[in-house]
Amino acid sequence: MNTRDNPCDRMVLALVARAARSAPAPLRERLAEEWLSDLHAQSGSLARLRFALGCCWAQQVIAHDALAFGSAAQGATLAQGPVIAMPSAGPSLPTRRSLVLLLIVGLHLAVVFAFIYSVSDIRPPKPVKPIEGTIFTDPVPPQPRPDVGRNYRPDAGKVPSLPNDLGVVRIGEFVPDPGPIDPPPAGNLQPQHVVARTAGGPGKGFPATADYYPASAIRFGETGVAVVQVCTDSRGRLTSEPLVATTSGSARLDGGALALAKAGSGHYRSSTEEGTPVAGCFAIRVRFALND
Amino acid sequence: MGNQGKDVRISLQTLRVLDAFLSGPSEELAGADVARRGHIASGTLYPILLRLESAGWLVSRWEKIDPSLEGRPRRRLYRMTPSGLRRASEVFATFSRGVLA
Repeated sequence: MNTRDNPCDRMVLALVARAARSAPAPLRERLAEEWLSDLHAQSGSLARLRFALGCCWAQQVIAHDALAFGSAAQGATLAQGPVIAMPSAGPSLPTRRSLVLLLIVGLHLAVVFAFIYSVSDIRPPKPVKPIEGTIFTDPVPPQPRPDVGRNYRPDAGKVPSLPNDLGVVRIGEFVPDPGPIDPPPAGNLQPQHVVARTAGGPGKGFPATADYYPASAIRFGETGVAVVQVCTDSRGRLTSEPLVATTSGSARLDGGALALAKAGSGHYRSSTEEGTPVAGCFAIRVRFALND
Repeated sequence: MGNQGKDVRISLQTLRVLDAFLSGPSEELAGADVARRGHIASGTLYPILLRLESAGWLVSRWEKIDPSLEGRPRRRLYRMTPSGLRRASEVFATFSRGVLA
């Protein structure tokens, strides 16, 4: 074994020498020479390194045995025969297998404790407070409905906000301004009655759109959708002139839509409140389309 | 002689060491030879050799060579004692040799 050129061999020799020096005093010289001779018999750097590491481990075991029976070791010699008293029974230094087993068990315990700790740290979610709310209807007492339609002037006076939050389309209907609304007293909030309203629309016997498609618009290939505001009484009859709320982009089509809305008077499905037909305004969409 | 005559704790590695010696009871083996025959790592082998020697199952001596001439250190040679041979045979009689496989 040439130790001058191979740094690995030099390290191996140093390991073996160090292991021997750390052995119990009566065994140092013997183990140093014995291990060096056996190291010489190893072939390959890896085998020599493995052997040297084994010597380090052996030194630990031997030192442990000598410590356990130190008094007996005093009589050991370097000559023939037994050199040190060794325990032949009873507890011994844990083997590598035992250490590995202990390591595995320890890791498992660590994982289990980590899991338990993480689980215990999870707090139950706070109960979600149920959504509470009260639907308020108009706090002011219902007032008599003004005349709808004839007195309606979209551009005259103040345009009130339309109560269309319940799906009822009331276009152009005059609603008196209730003024500032005082908040209801706290603790006395009672769910109030919600008026079920439905918007009116074209009903049974309503004319066909195609019959009011202007011929000129057909010739020019004009198509589009016009939204017309209509106001009806409780029987589905117009109470005012229909108005174009959203133009189709074509005056011909808008005219056709107005003509259709007028022709449908008496065939509208009137608006309802609590299932009872009432007068009201709503919008209808008139779509003019040409088939290919 | 210390613990000579006392029983040795028999482990699988100890059985392998004994098996290496029993294959040639009169042979003298160095630690490297035992390790090679028994497929035992050096970290396990030398404590066992010392324990067996302490218990009187083995004896050892230095190889009679001139290290300067041979170019290597002298080896420590181990050999089974008659009592060790007998007790090892008793051990193997109770253990199945299949353990060593």
